[in-house]
Amino acid sequence: MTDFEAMALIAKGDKSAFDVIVKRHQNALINYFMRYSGNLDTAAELSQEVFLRIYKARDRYKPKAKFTTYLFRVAHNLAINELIAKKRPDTKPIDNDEKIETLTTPDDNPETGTMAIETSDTIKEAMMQLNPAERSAIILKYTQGMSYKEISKSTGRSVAGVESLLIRAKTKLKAELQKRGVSAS
Amino acid sequence: MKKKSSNITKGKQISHKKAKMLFGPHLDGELDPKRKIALNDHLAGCEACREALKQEKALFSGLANSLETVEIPEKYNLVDSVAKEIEFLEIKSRNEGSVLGLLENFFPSKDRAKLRPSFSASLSYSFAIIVGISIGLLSGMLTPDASNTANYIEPDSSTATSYLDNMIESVSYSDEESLTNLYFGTETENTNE
Ligand SMILES: [Zn+2]
Repeated sequence: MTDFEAMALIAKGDKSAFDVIVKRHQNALINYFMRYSGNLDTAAELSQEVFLRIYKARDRYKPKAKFTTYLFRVAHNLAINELIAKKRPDTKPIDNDEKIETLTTPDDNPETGTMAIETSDTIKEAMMQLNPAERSAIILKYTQGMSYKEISKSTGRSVAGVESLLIRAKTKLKAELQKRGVSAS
Repeated sequence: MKKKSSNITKGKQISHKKAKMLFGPHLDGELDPKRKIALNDHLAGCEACREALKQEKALFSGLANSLETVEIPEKYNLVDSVAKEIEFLEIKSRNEGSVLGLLENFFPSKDRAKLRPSFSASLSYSFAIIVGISIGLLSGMLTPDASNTANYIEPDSSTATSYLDNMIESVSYSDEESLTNLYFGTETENTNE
């Protein structure tokens, strides 16, 4: 079943077809948000949010572009607008935090066994110095292996815009890596 | 400073600065033939840039390796949790206006996810929270010093109230605004087809 076929079934009310979509794309999506946020739990949470948004908008989906282009357009928008605007997950007001604590079941497994697959601290720190748009573009390029044209469709920028964004991002990244003792040779 | 090779070059040579701007697109395989020729012409006569390009290539292929897609552990498998959230959405739409629907307005799926970063037991927790809240509301726990249990939606009584107000605000944001500017509205921005 192709992504388009699955989305057509979902629009007709076949919820189980959405499992196919999630199963097929969750790894790429979690990777994107993991590189973006530096945290695997946050990445899974945001990926789930992307899938839910796509599901909620199922009636309006039109197979114009590749499904992954659409998927990462939603992901990119979430990363750029929401993640930063709301500064999640660390900076909630303290009193609200306490309220939340009392309402939830305590869940105590802080990052067990995830170190190996998360980005090395040096690269993570350097990546965090990039602004959201730059970071997203770098990840779409290097983690998703997208061409400039694909990145342009997922970010709503022109191809030339993507090129100059990536040049800026790489210049910054290079400086940040060198600051941290990473050199080319 | 830099020695130009004595080769005769056709046309105007690009500067070091311009050449360096082309390194990135060149390494990404995105240079059009015209710029490729310009870069190659420059490189042929400039050892400094050849060396700089070599270093840039090593740095970014190293970065590309460490940013590669990796296999995410099974405990982050989202198939079940997404299916459960969808199930919850359907229940919500069926119960619009009922008690369950009202509670979902205070604790939308988005905020439930924020409350609980682990995905393993999505729905059971959701129901546990809702049952807990219902009990809490009924026994007046959220407004301990209020005599009337219906007080919880009054504008300025306690911190619990403002918390609930925030929740209500986030509902309108998540359900209306973000959904409408997802993808469909901005497709025409892209003029590069
Ligand atoms: Zn040069």
